[in-house]
Formats: sequence, structure tokens, C-alpha cells
Amino acid sequence: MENGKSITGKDTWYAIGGSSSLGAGDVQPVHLLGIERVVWRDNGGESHVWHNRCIHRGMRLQYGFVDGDRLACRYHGWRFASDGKCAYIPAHPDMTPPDDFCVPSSPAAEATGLIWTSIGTPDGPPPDLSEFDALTFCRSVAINCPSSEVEAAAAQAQFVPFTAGNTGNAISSRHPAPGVTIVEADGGEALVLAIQPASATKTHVHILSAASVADTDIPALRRHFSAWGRQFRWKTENGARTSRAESETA
Amino acid sequence: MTKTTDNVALNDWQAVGDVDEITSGKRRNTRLLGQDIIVEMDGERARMFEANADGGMGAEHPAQILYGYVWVTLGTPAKPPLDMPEFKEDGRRLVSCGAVTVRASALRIVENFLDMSHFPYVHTGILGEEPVTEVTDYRFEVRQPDDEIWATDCNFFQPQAAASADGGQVSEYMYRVSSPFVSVLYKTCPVVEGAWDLVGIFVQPRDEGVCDVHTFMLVFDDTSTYTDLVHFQHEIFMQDRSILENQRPTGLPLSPKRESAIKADGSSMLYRRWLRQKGLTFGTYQGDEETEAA
Repeated sequence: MENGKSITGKDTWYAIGGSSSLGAGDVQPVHLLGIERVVWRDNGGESHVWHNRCIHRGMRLQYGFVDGDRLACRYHGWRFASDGKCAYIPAHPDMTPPDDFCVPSSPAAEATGLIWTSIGTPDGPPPDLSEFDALTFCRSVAINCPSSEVEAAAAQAQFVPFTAGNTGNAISSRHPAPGVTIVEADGGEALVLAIQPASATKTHVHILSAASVADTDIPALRRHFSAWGRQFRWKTENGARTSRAESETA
Repeated sequence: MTKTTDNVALNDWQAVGDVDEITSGKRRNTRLLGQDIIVEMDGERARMFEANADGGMGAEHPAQILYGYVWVTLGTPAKPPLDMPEFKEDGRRLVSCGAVTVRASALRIVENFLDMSHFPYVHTGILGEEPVTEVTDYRFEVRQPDDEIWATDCNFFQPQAAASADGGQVSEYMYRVSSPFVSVLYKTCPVVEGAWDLVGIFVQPRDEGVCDVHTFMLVFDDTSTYTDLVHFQHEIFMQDRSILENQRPTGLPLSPKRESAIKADGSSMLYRRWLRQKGLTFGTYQGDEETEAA
């Protein structure tokens, strides 16, 4: 089984995307610590993270479709209930699937506008970000660097605050939990970066803004930090390439 | 990888292309079981050589032409390629649909070819459609002395069973696996009463997880154009490929405990048992599930 015994960070909660990026009936692949998972949202609004492989013939469940509160495999239409148990097999419509026909699941939680999961068994809930009155999910960026390089870049990150009165001249960063970096501008506006180590060479960064804005300003806030995310990706990938090249020539 | 050491795979005939793809006097470079090879037509005769690291011609191996295809072996086969007497019947058209590269195990490809219960989901509106999804009981056995798997009495409702079909019908199938990488199906002909159309796959495993699949039809059909027939077959096969390249692990697990099975998977489970008894390892799942999942 995919127990991830020897993997660093296997019992850590990691954000895998914005809650608003996964609508009811959506199914998406997840890459975390080099392992594949699938995340899907049932029509009742609950999200589920499972192994990305049908128990029948190994088909990736990310290509399946949601049928009410069940996930269907694309290959043979087997329906799996929200607890992972097979509920219906179209080839034998009258058959009751045995209890051990079950897709293994991973922990799933939604908090602070993000979906969180873990490869293993985390202690307690996902990181507590309740110090912020409001957090707005802005976007996710995929960066072609290992998470260690992205964490290092996040610790040095600068940004132009969205709200007036925040100058952004003095920036401080902290690292309250594994996979979470908080960058704060002079004046208090904060950016929360939830960092997902997808594989040894790829990292996803989920960007949340703690700026306090009126609802009507949220689209502009998203655009502001969406542009910041593109720049952060560019700087991180190029900075890492430069430092790798320097260490090779040294 | 380099040439496999799996003698079950080596000591067998594999099709590596239809004769029209191999121009006389020109070498065709391809790959079989992890070995780069060169196939050429020497007059009416086919020849096959291992390719050396420098691209030159190495050891020569047996080659023959059969059913419009060049068959070769890197080992010493105990039996000839399958016997298909239908090739000599009057009125049939042989349609070679060319080779399609699929990043999957040859064994997953053959197993999918034997499977009916995916029709409503993968070939929706053509070979099957909800709500008629049931796979009724069928027979399956290993037939001796040829040591071939046969599945018979296979019935399935199909909205458009063939290029020549006009509306839905219950199609009857027979499936045959003559060697680990070769399978042929016999299917109710929509045109000639009481006749079977043949569709076959000759899988050429380039490596454990990459194959060229040669597909042919041998059908009674005077009305469809060659292009219509090839398009029909390609549409079906592209749908299958989207599944085959997304099965994990890539290799076929032969242990009955590894993947769940139901009664409709009877022929698939027999195929896995038959492969296990032969001792075939090429294209099977041997590794640690955790690393495969990564």
C-alpha cells in the first residue's frame, strides 16, 4: 500500500489548492511529495482526497466523473461512495459489492479558503491562521523548483501591499508551520504562502492575502497578487537556476 | 532498457509491421523487447537483424511474412504464429490500420482488448451505452493442444457495433489469445448473416511500458471505404489508449490479490493465471507499489 513510510513530511498537512478552485462535481489530480492523489467535491459540497487509482484495474480516478455523492471511474463506471466504498458495479447491476472493495483515502480538510491533505496521519487540524480577520485566496502557481528553494525564496519575498497606508518598505517573514510562510509588510498587510511540495522538482504555492478589503475590491486584490505570483515564480526559477550554475562552476 | 532476458517473451513470434510499411531495399529501424532491431525486405523475403550500438547490423534472427505482416523473433519459438484460416476465405477485406504507439504494458493492452464491461464508458454511443451495462455470463477456457485462451458466448448491446452497422444490435463476440501479445476477436457481422468479422491486435512491445500496436480487420463489408474502416478502428483505439496510458501500476499485476475482480473479469483473470503459469515477467508488475505510485 501507499503508506509513504520513509517520506519526509508525510504526516504534515499541506494545502493542495484553493477551495474555490474545486467546484461541486470537479475531480482533479494531486501531486504531493511525489505521490499521486485525487481530490473531488461531491454535489453536497464535501471534498474528498483519495488514492488516484481504481481498485479494479488501476485506472487513474482523476479522469472519473462525479455522479451525485459518488465518484465514478472512467474505465468501467464503478461508483464509489464518499467513504471510498464501492457502491455500484455497472457490469453486474444486481450485485452488492463486497466491503473490501474500497478506495483508500487520505485526510481532507478545508480551512482558510484552502483544501488541505496529508500523505500520512497528521496530528491535529491544519495550521491555525485565525490570527487574520480575513484571508482571500488569490491564485496558485506551479514552480519548477524543489520546495526547499521555494521556501528560501519565500523567506526573502517582497511585495507591494494592496491597501493604502501599507508602505511595504520593511518586510518581515515567519514560518509558523511546515509548508506555511507569512510575509508581512510595514503597516501590517500580510501575504500567506502555503507551499505544496508536489515532487522533487515541482512545487505549488497557494497565495492568500490578509488585506482587509470591501467585497467589491476582491477581484482587484486577486489580480494584484496573481501578478505577484507570476513574478515570484519567474524570480524563483531564475534565481535557483543562477545559484545552481554558480555552485557548479565554483 | 536492454534486450529482455525473459525467455517466455523472447521465444515467441511478434509482428513488427505490415509488409506495405516496409519498402523493399530500405531498412526499417524499430525496437522489440528492449532491443533495437532492423527489418528489411529482401525481394519477397523479410529479414531481421539486431542493431548494434553504432546503428550497424548485428546478429540475424528469423523473420517470416504471414497475414500481411512481418513476424520476427529474438529467440527460438516452440510454435508458429497463430492459425487464422479466415484469411483464405473469399469475400473478406483485410484492413491494416497501421501501428499506434501506446505507453503501456503489452499485457494491459491485451487485457483491455478482452474486456467488454468498459464499452459503455470508454466507447460511449458506439460499442455500449448506459443503461445497458450488464455483462452476462460467458464461457472461458484454455484450449489445448494450442494452449490458447478462448472466451465464447459473449453478448453485449451496442449502439453502433461496426462501421457498417445501421442502428443498435446485440453483438456476439468470441475472444482468442494465442500468445501473450497477440489477440483476435470474432464478432457478429452486421452484413452477412451467420458470419464473423475479425478484429485483431498484434502488440509489438518495444519496452516493458511502450508498445506499437498493429491493428487489423478482416471483415465482410463491400460498402465502407478503406478510410471509413480505418477511422472507425482508430476512433475506438484512441479511446482505449486514453485509458491504457493511465493505468497504475504500468505493469500488469498477476497476483489475484492486487486488483479487485468480478465475474465479468473471468477472461482477464484466466489471462493473468495463464501468464503466471508460463512464467512471463516482461510487462508484469513486480515492484514495490509505493515507488510505482510516485
